[in-house]
Amino acid sequence: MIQFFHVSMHYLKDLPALDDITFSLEKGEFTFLTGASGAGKSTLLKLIYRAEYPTKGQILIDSSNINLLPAKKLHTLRRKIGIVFQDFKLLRDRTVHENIAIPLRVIGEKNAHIEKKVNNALSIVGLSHRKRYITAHISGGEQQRVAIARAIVGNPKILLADEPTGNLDTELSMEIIKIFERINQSGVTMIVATHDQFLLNLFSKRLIKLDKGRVILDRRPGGVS
Amino acid sequence: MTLLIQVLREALENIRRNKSANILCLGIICFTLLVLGIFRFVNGNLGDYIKRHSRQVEAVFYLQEEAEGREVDALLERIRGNLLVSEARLVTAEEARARFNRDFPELQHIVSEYRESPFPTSIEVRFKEELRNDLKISAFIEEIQRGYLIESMEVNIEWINKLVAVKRFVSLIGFFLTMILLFVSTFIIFNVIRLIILFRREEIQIMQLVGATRMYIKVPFLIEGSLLGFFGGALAVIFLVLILKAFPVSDRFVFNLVQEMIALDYPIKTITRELLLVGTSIGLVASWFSVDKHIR
Repeated sequence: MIQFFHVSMHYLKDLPALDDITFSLEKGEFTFLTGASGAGKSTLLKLIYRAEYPTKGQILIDSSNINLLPAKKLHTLRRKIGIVFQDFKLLRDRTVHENIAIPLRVIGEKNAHIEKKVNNALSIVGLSHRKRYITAHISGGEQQRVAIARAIVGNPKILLADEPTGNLDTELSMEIIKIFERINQSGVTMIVATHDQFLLNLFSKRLIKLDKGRVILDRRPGGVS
Repeated sequence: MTLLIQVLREALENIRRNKSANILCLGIICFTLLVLGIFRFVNGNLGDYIKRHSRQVEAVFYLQEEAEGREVDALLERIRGNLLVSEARLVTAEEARARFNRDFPELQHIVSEYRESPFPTSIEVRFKEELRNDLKISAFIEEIQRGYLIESMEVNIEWINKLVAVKRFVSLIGFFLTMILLFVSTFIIFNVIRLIILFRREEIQIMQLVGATRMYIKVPFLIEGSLLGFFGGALAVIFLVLILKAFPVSDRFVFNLVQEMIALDYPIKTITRELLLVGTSIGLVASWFSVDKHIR
């Protein structure tokens, strides 16, 4: 589902953010991406949804080389991917429902379908009772779940989460990862970037560890590769 | 269809959310188009006035007493054959006397003292409506006048020429003033749309990340710009009609020409169409440039 072939990315000429990254993720695989701050986790995720462009190498998503995707066709890639940001990226003056509906509105879904799909996403993240609340008026944990609901409402093939538990306490963090597990069970390929060692130890998943832009560990559950 | 409705709703929602900026924008577009409308109206009426009165442009060639019938007929045919002439008529001395008696009955006693008509035979020439090139007419008149049959002549083209010059002057002033104001309006719409884009930067970014097409993001701004232009044009038409309705109050103080220029003769429908079209176009163009520059 996701394949990186010798991918490098430089923000500055002599300072690679990512250096010769090669890996592949199968459909429905759940992967933790870890490493210290500045290791290149966010950059790697940005390359997948093409917010950044690699300096070298090729990236295949669902067997398509996204380097060759023209800018005007970028929406076709983005519609396959749900993204959960560390800072949530929610519109704080809109309701929970309005925020979650955005991916459906941009593809021209009918109101009845939007209503149904938003309700479904809200029930997955356990937030049905907050549907009509203004987003600024709900807690940080709830906002994170709104961001997850928005990421899954369009039935993406891939879900990317960048430090989704960064602002949450341990209990809420575990709850969020459990939600991700439930989503993953429906066949969604997942990459969760986190540096929370507690969560990494608790959930037995594939682990890719980055250091200074290089892959230093790629461990599947039950072994090391 | 659902997508179109959503895009329209989005544009209207944008206008509602940014009331102050949009009201300012609307006011400036309205002022610009009002100025354009006033100039267009005055110019249109003046044009109609000139056209109407151009029909009355005529030259009268008074013939020498000794002019012979054959020579006069030949001259008449020559005049009729000219492309500028719509009608040429021979007025004999007796016809001229009869016309004088009819037009000025109280002065009949003056001419009745003469056994023969004191008026010379003349050829009255009317020119075609579409005449605009007075140089050609002047050249024609000069050429006829040079003939030995002509004693003298009269022509009433001078004041029409002056009106044409006034019309050109009004057009020129109107053109430059409108150009400046259109530029200002375009610049302001450009910046209002830019501010709205900056204000909604986060939302635009989210829409891009969740898979919105470029057009889905851009079109509401284009619609917003066009609607601002359209409503600005509509407001300008309303103010224009109000001004024109109010103006005749002072008609005791203005002379006939000014009255003709501001009379509601010129079709307001034409100006309405023009102002709405110009308003919508500048709104669309300005927002297009702004969107193109600020949304990547």
